[in-house]
Amino acid sequence: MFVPIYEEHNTMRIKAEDSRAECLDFAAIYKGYLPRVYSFGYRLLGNSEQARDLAQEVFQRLYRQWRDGRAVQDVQGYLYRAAANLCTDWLRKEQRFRKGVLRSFVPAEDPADGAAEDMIKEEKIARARQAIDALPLRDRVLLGLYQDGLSYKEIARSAGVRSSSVGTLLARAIKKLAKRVHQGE
Amino acid sequence: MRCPRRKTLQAFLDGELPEKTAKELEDHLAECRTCQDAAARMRSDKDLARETLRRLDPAGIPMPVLGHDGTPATRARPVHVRRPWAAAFLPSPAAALLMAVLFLAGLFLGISLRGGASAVRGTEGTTSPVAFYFAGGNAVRAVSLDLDLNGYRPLEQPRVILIAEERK
Repeated sequence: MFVPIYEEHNTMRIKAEDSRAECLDFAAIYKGYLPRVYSFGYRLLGNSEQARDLAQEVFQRLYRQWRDGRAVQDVQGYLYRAAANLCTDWLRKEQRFRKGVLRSFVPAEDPADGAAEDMIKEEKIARARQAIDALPLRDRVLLGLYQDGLSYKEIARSAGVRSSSVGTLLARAIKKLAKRVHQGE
Repeated sequence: MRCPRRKTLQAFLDGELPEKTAKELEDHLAECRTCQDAAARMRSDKDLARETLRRLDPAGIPMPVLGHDGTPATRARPVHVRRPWAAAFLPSPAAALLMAVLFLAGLFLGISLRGGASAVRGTEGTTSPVAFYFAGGNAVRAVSLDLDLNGYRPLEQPRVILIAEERK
């Protein structure tokens, strides 16, 4: 589903003044993780423009760490944590902004060509979007991380929850989402 | 084993339980009808949630935009910032400064040549690397600033060096 992850880059100790080879390492991390960060953002934000901005901001943050010579032990964890925090911030702001405004007024993202199958597909996507948007922010973030195949430990680190509560929180979030989907059908 | 809590069942479905606990839970599930039902419901919810989330996957992934040094390039965003007029010179402040110096030097030379008397013929002194050409009266003159300013007050007694002169 995703471009292979660069496991060997998962520990990064690079200083800004180091050689170009390590610059290229950063590029490899960027290329390797961009699809994951972007997909995560897209799933939560539902908008390719915002997802792209999110990915850019997340990698800029990682780059600043790298430039300032601060070691990042767990690159994947760092990226997901940054992405989850940013998504939460943005969605919270958006919620405030959209209070009382119907989500359906927002133009559909990436409209497909008007074939009937595409319309059915779009309908399904719209329902999925409605179901996920109805969940509390934390549940959305947890489900986003869960969908990306992160372990409970990684989810706990990225979402800032205790790892002993991940099971409970996920079970609740999954149940809520399933209920919303059933309601929408 | 007693009936597990929901979080344990969820962890079991997600393969997050230690092997020993998972085995015990499996044995329990084989016997307990209530837990079997609960697990089946949770599994179906999980599949539905995964399917729903999968539908929200992006259609494509953007290409990474890398700067020349391999770092992520900053995407240009339409930001409306009031720029001061001086910002027009920002792309090359050095060029702007050079232009200003040349302009002032030209002005200075022009004024001093009008006075006429202070131009020194030949290459004595230290000339600036930039020569100025003036066409005026019956001659074309190439002059340069005298940079050898020791013991000499340029403002009161401006001195330029005449490099070449061609009379008509």
